[in-house]
Amino acid sequence: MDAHNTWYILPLVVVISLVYSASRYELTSRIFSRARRIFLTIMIFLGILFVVLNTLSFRL
Amino acid sequence: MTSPQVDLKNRWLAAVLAFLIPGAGHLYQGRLVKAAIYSVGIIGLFVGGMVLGEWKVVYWRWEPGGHRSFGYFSQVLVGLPALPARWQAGRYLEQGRAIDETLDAPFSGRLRYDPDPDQLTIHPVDPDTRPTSKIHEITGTIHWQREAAAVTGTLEGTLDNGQAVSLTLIREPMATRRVFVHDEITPSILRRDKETSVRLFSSTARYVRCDVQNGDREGIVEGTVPRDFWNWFQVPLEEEALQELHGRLGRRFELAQVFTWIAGLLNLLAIWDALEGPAYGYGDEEDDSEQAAAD
Repeated sequence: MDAHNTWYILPLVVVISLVYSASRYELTSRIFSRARRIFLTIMIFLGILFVVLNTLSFRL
Repeated sequence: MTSPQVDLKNRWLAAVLAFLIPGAGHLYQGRLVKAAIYSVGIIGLFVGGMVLGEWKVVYWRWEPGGHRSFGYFSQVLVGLPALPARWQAGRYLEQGRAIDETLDAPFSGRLRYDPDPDQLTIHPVDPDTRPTSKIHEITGTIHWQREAAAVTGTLEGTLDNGQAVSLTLIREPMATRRVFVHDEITPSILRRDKETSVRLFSSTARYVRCDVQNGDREGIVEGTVPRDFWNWFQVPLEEEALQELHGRLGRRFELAQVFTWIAGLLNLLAIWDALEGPAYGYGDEEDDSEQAAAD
């Protein structure tokens, strides 16, 4: 996926985090704090995956 | 288990509303923040996918042994925004290939008059030196209607040299189907010399070609007219259309599909929330348990 298309992951992860958290709790502050945590978790996981795959495909 | 702090009202009605329009069920229940999150998030994701895929990622097509739009089972969970595809699939199959009984639409294309017959008698009939008339760009309005067995009509427009013309349709025009997703609209008859043969496709335009007459001169026009929104929106994609879109948009088309699939799946969570309330509870339960431990 070229760099330009990769940016589309951001709004996708934001929406997934928000909607999923909203379906778990009712309290607004709880929804947003949990959504923030889920967003960071997903992005860190994807970031690690990105580094690993880039390293494995170096000079291929 | 439903949190007692959340008033679900008529939860089945709320669930149906949540299915039809993401966030509507929660709006009915008075859960405004959630209604905003679900509607903006889910509808935004769905529409974003549609825009990325040039409004052609949502369609229903089910051919035994052929192409099947499995993704639609997820897209349809978004509700009303995806439901037209089912209805459009039926319209697509019903539409025949006969031309419209009437047409009144803006036209954009090319015009070429037949060579002057006098010139043909003067010059030798040699393909290399045979005179050909100039191709003009023309924009205007085309109108035709069927009267008994014949089609009559006119094309009123302006040529690229600024000349206004009023052309009469003299034979049965040719037009692509009214309900269609994908048509090739590349000029085939009136292609200019040295013009690269690029195949142009469009769902929002229809290809039209007809013989015309202007006074004692006959000619041919070839171009496009706009297609009505409901004759291309969420209509099944043909194989050529899929291949052309994948070839041109590449990964963006797949990303667009993923956006719409995930929007549908997320609406499942919203529907369940409208029906049963928040899955884990109100959100203040841990604070209560910490207070109890302190006591």
